[in-house]
Amino acid sequence: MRFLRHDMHSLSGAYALDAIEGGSELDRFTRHLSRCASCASEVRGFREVATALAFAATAEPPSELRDRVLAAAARTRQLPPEVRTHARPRRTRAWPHKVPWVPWLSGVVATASIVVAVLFGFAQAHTQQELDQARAVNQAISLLLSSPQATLLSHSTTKGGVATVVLVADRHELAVITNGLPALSAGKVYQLWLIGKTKTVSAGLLPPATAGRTPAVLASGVVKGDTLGLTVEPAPGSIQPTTKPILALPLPV
Amino acid sequence: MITLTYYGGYSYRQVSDLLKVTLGAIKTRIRDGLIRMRDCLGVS
Repeated sequence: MRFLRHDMHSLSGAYALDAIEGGSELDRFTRHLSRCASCASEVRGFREVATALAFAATAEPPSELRDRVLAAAARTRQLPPEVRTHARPRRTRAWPHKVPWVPWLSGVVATASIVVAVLFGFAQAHTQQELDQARAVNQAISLLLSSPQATLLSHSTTKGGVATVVLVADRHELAVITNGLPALSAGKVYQLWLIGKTKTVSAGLLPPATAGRTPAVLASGVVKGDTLGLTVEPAPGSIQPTTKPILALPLPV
Repeated sequence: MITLTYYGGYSYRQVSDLLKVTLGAIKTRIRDGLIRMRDCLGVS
């Protein structure tokens, strides 16, 4: 094949549209481009036209697409972080010139951005709620623990493990933490009770344990004569105790 | 032609085969088409 100079110039259009197959021809033109100012400027201009073509070809998404995406996102669990198990994929000789990358890439980036924004929105709202709740509980507990009138009580349960109570009688509040309570089978929970002279009231469920310890549970409305009870109840808890307490701690109110 | 090369992702040689047009003509037409579009859009 003969290669005339003017042949090279005529390839500027094809090059700008990524329509030259990877290989010696593409290499030759790329080299030519580095030497030829007019082709370089032509290619620049043509690339801009190509971008305009890409935008001209975009389609307006149907209006219900947004609702569908949001609904699907609400139902979809987040993926765990990705772990690369193999090295970067091999670069084939045709990459990246075979695929018209401008419209494809902008399409992918646009879709990915929307999805990421939507997921972030959901995650953020949920996390914010959890954060607010946790912060409120923590504040209440810290306030309790820092009270000078706090009384500390500890007692083991009949099933093993120990429950520790911080009682502030004047404020009728207490906090309960446990350590070493045996894990329960599925469908059962530990429930706290304030057992009074005339009635027994639930003081909440023990949250799930981390390494055998449960985080503090706050209970209020503690009055004179109350006993703190702990029972095993069917999930998600009962209105009144259905089993014999594994702990019954009279409270010095 | 530009539809095939750009949107279709074909190389210019493939397009010349598909449309049974010579290579030289393809190159020229793509380039001329782009020049016209460029001038339309007012790209400097």
